[in-house]
Formats: sequence, C-alpha cells, structure tokens
Amino acid sequence: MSCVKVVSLQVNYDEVRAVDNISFELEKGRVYGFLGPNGSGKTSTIKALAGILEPACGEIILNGHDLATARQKALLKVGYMPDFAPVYENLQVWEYLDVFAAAYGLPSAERPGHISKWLEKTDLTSKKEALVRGLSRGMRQRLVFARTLLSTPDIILLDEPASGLDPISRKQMRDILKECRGNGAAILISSHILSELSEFVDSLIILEKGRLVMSGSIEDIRSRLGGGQKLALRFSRPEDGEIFRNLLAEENIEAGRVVQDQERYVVIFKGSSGAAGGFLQKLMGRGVSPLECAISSDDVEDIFLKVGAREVA
Amino acid sequence: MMKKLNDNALFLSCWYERSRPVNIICLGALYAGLIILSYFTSMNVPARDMNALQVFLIVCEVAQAGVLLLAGTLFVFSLSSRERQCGTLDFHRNSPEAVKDKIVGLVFGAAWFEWLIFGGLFLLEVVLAPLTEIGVWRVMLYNLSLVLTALLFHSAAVLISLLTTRQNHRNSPLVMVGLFFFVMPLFGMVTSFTAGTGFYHILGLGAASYALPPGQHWGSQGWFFGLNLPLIILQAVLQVPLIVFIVRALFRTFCQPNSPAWSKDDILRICFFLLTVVTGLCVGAYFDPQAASGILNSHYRSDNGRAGILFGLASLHSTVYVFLGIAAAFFLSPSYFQYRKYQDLSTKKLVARSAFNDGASAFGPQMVYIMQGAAYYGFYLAATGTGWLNSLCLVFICAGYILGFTAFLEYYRLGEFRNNTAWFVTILAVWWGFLPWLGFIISKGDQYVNFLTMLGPLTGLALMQYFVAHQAVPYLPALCAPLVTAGILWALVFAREENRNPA
Repeated sequence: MSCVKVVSLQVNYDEVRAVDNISFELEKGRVYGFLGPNGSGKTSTIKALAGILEPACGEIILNGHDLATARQKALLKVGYMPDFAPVYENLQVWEYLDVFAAAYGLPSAERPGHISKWLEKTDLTSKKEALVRGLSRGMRQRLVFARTLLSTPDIILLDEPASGLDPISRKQMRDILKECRGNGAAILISSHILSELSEFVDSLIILEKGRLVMSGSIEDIRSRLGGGQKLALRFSRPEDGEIFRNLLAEENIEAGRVVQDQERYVVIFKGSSGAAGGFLQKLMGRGVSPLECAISSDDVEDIFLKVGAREVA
Repeated sequence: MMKKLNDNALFLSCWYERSRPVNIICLGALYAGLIILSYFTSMNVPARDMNALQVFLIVCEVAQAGVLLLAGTLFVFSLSSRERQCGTLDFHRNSPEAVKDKIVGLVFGAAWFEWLIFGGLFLLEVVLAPLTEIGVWRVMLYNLSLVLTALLFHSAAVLISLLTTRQNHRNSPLVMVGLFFFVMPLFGMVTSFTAGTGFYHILGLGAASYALPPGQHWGSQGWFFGLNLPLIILQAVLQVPLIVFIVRALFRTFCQPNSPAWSKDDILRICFFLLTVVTGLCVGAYFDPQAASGILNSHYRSDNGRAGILFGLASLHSTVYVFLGIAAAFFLSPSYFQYRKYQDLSTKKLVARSAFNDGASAFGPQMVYIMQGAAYYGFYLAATGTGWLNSLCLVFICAGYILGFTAFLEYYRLGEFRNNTAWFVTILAVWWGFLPWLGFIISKGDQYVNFLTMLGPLTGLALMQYFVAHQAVPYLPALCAPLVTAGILWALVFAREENRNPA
C-alpha cells in the first residue's frame, strides 16, 4: 500500500532545475535506496518531501494528505534526518529529544519512556545528561537518528544517515531500520556508501540531473538491465581453460562480458537468473571441475554503475 | 486550541536553555542590582518632589520596560537566530506542530524569564500604587502599554532574526541594537516636525507617561486626524495592526520557506496602514494646539502657523511616500526563483495569471501603491487650497522615483546581472548621487533645478519640497526627469520580458 505519492515534482534553485518532473510512490514496509551522483537532486527531493523546500510545482501526498494543503496532517508521521546533524548545542541530550518528542505531540507523561528507549537503542544512555556540544560527530548523528524515529514515523526520510558513523553504529542503524521496516514503515534512504545499502534495500530510485532514470524493485531493475549475474571461475588445468573458451564461443558470449584476472575469469550474464547456473552445468558436463566457482547477482553498486548516472553539469 | 507550554517544542527548547540555575541567579541578581541602584540614584536627585515609595514605584516601572523591552528583545533575537543558525528550524518546519504554536513558543519562550520578572514587578506595583499618587488604574494602563510594545518588539525580533540569519553563521544580537540606532534618527527627524508621530507611539513612548502621576506627562497628546484619543488607544491602534502583519509574515516564513515573508497584498496593506498613520498624525498635528504653538522646526515657522505646518507635513509625507515605496519595491519585485516558478506554473495553466502573485512583476502593485499615496495628498490639497500645482508636481515626482527604482530593481533581479551586487550599487550611485551632483555643478543660479538634479530622490525631493514650502514654481520641464527615467526603465524591463516569452 503506497503511503508516499510524488507526482511531477519540480524543485528549482535560481537558474538550476534541481529536480525535474519526477514521479514515484513509496509503499509501506519497504526500504528504498535513493541513488544518484552529487547534484542529482536527491537532497532537494528529500527536503521537498519533508516540507522544508517549496517545490516549484508538483504534488506530494503523504499518508493520503496533500503536503501543500494539509501540511500538519501530512507531516504527522514523517521522520526526517538531514545529511548533517542540526542540534541545540546548549541542551542536554535528553532535553533535545524531549523538545522534539513534544513537537510530534507525545504527551509529557509518555515522553521520558520514549526517550529512554531510543537512547538505549542508539547507545547514548550514558550521555543522557551530557550537553550536546560535548558529543562527537558520530554521537550527534546517532542523537539525530534517535530524534527521527522518536515519534515512530510511518515514513522515514534519511539523507546520508551513516556519514560520520563507525562500523558498529552503522550496523546498529541498519538493524533499527530493518525493525522499522518490519513495523510497516516506508524508508527512503540516500547514501553514497552503496555497499551498505545492498544488504537491506528492497527497491531503488535512481536520479540523474534531477530526472528519474530508473525505479523499481532490485530484481525488476536487474532484469531490466539485462539480468545481472556474475559467474567467477578458476581452473586447475590449462585444458579446462580451453574447454571454457570453446563453450563461450558456442554460447555466443561476447568477449566484452568476460573479465580475466590472471587465472580467474568472471563472466557477466544478462537475461534470466538461471543463465549462469546453466552455463556452469554445461561446463561441468564436459568434465571440467573448477578450483573455485561462485555465482553472484548484481549488487546496488553494480546496478548504479550500469545505469551510469552522471553528475549535473 | 493552543497547546500547553510544556508541550510546546520551541518554548521547551528556550526554557531548557535559559533555566540553568547559574543563568537564573546571575541574571536575577543583575536585574535586582539595577533596580536597587536606580532607586538610590533617583533618591539622590535634588529637588525631587516625590516620596520614597513613589520613586520606588517609578523605578520598578522603568525596570519593567528595560527588562522586557530591551533584555527581552535581545534574548528573543538571540534564541530565534540560534534556530536558523544551527539548522533546527528545519526540524520545526518539518514537525506537525501547528504554526501558531511554533510562533507562540518562540515569542514567549525566549524571554520567559523577563516575562516572569515583569509579572512579579507588576504585582508589586499593584500593591504599592494605591499608596502613591499614581494609582492602580494608571499602573494597569502602563503595564498594558508595555505588554503591547513587548509583543511588537518580540515578534519583530523573531521575524528579523529568521530573515537575516543564515545556517552556520552566527547573527549577533548587535544587529538588533544596530537596527535600533539606525531607525532612531528617523524617529528624531519626524519628531522635530510634529508633536505626535507614528514612531513615537509605535515605540510606546506616548503611553509611557502613565508611569507618572496624573497631570505629569511628556510628549504629545493623542491627536489622530481630528480626534484626541487616549494615549493607550492610539498606541493600540498603531501597534496591533503591525503585530498582525508581523505574525502573518511569521506564518509564511514557517510554511513557505522559499517565498517572501509578505505577499504583495500584505505589503500594500502595510503601506496603506503606514500612510494612514502618517496622514492621521499629520492631520492630527493640524488640530493639536500644542503643535501649532512652537514645537515645529524653525524652518517651517511662518506668520501663518497652520499653513507652515501643512507644508512641513506635506514634505514629511512625500519623504515617507517615496522611501516607503522604495522599501516596498524590495518585497514587490519578484526574485528570479519566484519569477521562474510563476512562469512555469502559469504556462502550464496550474496557476491563474495575477499581478499579485509572488512571481509577478511589481508594476501593478506599485501603481496601486502610488494611487494610495496620491489619494492621501487630497488631504493636503484640500486643506491648503493654495500651491496645488506644486503639490501635484510633487506627486508626479514621487511616483517617478518609486516607479523608476522598482523598474531598476526588477531589471537587476531578473536580468543577467542578478548576482552582481557591485553593478547594482554602481549604477544606483551614479544615478542618485553623481549625476545630481554634476547637475549642481553645472547649474548657474537657476535654483539648482535642472534635469540632472531632479534625477535622484535624495536631491530632487529636497528641492521640490523647498518649492512646495515656499510656493514657488520651479522650471517645469526639469520635473519630468523622474517620470522619463522610470518610463525608459520599464520599457527595458518589458522589452526583455517580450524577448524571453515570445507570444
């Protein structure tokens, strides 16, 4: 069920059209990777969805409410985290969270419980009474992450949430986001660290020069890009290499789809997901027993590179 | 329904920041120290014809004003700037809290301690007042006057800080102090012409005389048009609409972050209100016996005192008219972003074409403003009955300056030089400064009026006011300079518009 609907969104800055007529929908219980090179319009789109930037035109519907006409209702269940951590330097950590718990309408009696829960989840309990100005960059990022999820939002908009976080905190963040997805939240996450998205992203939205290049589930995009399986092989005997090359010729696999690194070959397959497996079966049927063999699908990074999005001029 | 203050996010953020015991103790001690020292200083003034209790009461009243209007405004400015500077304002824009709660939180939260001190002193004054000549009623009126002025100052401080602060750039509260000193000469200038001025009452100075015993007051009475209003009423008449305009701007600042703080309609309403205030007080000064009896600036004294006042006020009115129009141009001329947005939407027929859209040209609204101002000259023309030709010329000259500047600003904002401030400043300096200066140099005793001296408002307006005051007829062709310049500039603006959007 879709909880975010963006129709013909356009965002302008003076002479630059940062977002140009893009439309997409986000469904509940799914994580969307928001990809694109620098200046492709990711941050502008997220800010427009969060109601911070006025779109030049287009429609944004959040949980069934039009952001332009029913702002308060539309933003009721939206959590937004920008790419830097806006904080009140002179407030204590719990005070900071209390301010925003109040902003999201949590009753004063319930606020301490929520705050303690999220401090624990983001590993900041020991810093509860500390002043925010004394926190490290990573801690501030975790604090803002806790603020974002404090009101248990249905729509979570994250702009480079992992910047400044150490590997343990990143894993913590991923686990929390998986939990949110399990609870039915729609998550839109923009990140340059593509490898970390691969693990838990269900769908992708790819922008280039403010335009939507491609969107859909990862499986869907892989098949649209022509499959996207890689078969890695290493042979123990030289004659096995010869049989392998013959089979490549028989199967009409072009040389450009085969990468050789010393004794190791990587073959890129398009088409159905079973192509790599079928090729391996045929190879073994001719008596070849590879020293190493692995089949993998295109990850988020491969897809992004295939789409080949370029930066805005 | 208004939220409780402990559920108001912006109030809480200010509350937490300012409620540290050390802050409270230091500031409380500072305020108490000032009151005590002021009391003893006042008691040492010789020839003070008041008892100690009355002096203490007046000191408390002055302290209330200082704490709430000065310290309170600075705290409001500082904490509002912080929201913008550290980026948390975006979180509040993004939160589902009602905008009115956000405004209440910022306006009252940032100066909650000053409001507390104010409340405490008010209770003390209510107890002391019956024991003095001042009385409870005057104390109540004085406090009401302070509350109104504080609401105006604090809401203005929030708006100015949100509009002037940039993210990651600290905006010093000194900006407020600087602004205050920048505006003060304007108040002074206006006060020298008339006994009662809009700025005098907007600052709440008129109603401040309620702090003194009955019969003792300073400054003017409350003459507005032909009515002598109670000072607190006059203050409310002037301050409440301004507070409403500021709150409307704050609503837009929260909900439409990329739009100007005021819509074109609002700007015209503000201008209409300010012109009404100036006219009302000018006409009021005509009826005010105190104003006619010698407070006037000596330049405008004449045998016929009232005619002198009228010409003086006409000069004041034309100055306010032109510079208000020039200030309005900054809000009425669209930014490039707004212009592009409006063009896109109107081309796609998603928005109706309107002269009052944020992205539309300022020409239409400025014409409305010019007509508003010209209509007010009817008062002067009707009242004087003489010098109508010069008064009419003055109206056309004012309209020329306003339209000319607006066209220049629009040309600059929408053209290829829009990011080049030096271009704008240089052209303006030549147009308003160097060319009129050159005009003075080459004029040969014909009263300095020539095409060049009339080009800019700084010189042209002063010359024209002189002719109006002395009922002399200047060289008429030279008076066309502002309108001709405005016509050329608007032709340039519209020509570029045609090139950009060929039919």
